[in-house]
Amino acid sequence: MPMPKPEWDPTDSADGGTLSFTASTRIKRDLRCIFNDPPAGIFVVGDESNLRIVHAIIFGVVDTPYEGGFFYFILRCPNDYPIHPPKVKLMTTNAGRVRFNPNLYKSGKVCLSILGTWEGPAWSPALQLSSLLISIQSLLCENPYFNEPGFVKEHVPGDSKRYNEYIRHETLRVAVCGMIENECHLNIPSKLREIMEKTFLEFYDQYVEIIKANIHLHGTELIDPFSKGRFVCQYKALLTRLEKIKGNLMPQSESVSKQASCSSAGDNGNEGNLT
Amino acid sequence: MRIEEGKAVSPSKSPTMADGVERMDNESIKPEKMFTLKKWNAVAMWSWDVECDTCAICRVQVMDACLRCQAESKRDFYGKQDCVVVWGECNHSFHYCCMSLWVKQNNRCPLCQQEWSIQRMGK
Repeated sequence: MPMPKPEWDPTDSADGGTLSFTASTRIKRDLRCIFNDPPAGIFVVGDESNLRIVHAIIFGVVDTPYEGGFFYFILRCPNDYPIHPPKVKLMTTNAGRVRFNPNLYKSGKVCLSILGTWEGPAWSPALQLSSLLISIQSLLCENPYFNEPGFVKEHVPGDSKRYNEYIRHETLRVAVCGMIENECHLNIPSKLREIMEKTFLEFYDQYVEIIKANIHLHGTELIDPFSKGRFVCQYKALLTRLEKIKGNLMPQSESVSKQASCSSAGDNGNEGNLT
Repeated sequence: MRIEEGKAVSPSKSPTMADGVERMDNESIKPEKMFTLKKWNAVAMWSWDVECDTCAICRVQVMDACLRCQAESKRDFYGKQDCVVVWGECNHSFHYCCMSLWVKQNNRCPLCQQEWSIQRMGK
């Protein structure tokens, strides 16, 4: 018998009723707000069949160990949104195997006080989807080791740097290669897939730079101080994987861009579906 | 409305002809009517002279009805939408309908997180 899904999990479809009129109008308004004024590095589409579900990709910020990664989140708004916050799950976990941050569990749980999954300032109906996504983006920071409560100082000197090395490697392996290849067979909306593929090609040289700067770590052991997991660093294999992905994307992406220039509907088409 | 400047020249006449007419009978003949205003529409603009906030909960201006009242189109005796505004001690304003849903969850102002207590209600 399958385990019942935890309360925070947005992939649990038991909504216990329908969206209120205020909730559905607020969700559309929140989405329009993101389309009109997109926060940097955050890409969002509404679900085609269910207004309460929102798909988001947060792109790892430059100069953090998450740089260039595609972190895919599913959000599910409750019937009385914005009185209660949405439920949020990180889908980029290599099928529940990678904990990308002290606040982002490998189960996909997002520990954030405004989501009610952590202590601290609670949700406020004055918040909206964009401010929530920006809060999540801010978790993907320069030195995530210190996000863990009680870890204001390194337990072992060098822990933070070692954690960053582990995250940087897993970002390239799972949040870049794994996401573009869709190795975990996630149901990512095609619009977000296109954005990821386009961004991958634009960022490709930077991926190669990151690997070159860290190639000396190849074959060494990476340690996650939180799960105590040990992994062998595989930068050389990752470089080959990146090159292969690029090769696969190049001819295909040319035909995609041709299609895009033929239909001028583009972004508007998506928003139109939501309203 | 009157056109004060009679010297403008109607496009149908040449400038010399118009000049001649004016010189001969400057006093007795009224300048030829060039156009008549048959209809005009006045346009007025207005705005609230008080600071008009957007309700942070439903994102509709507080002076308009909240989303729920708009949907149910609740109206009072005079046909006006019966959706009042509530101001907290912190001076933040919301629709009473929206706020009553929120305070059941958390008795704090959604904007400043201060403990919520009503200062006044109305429109």
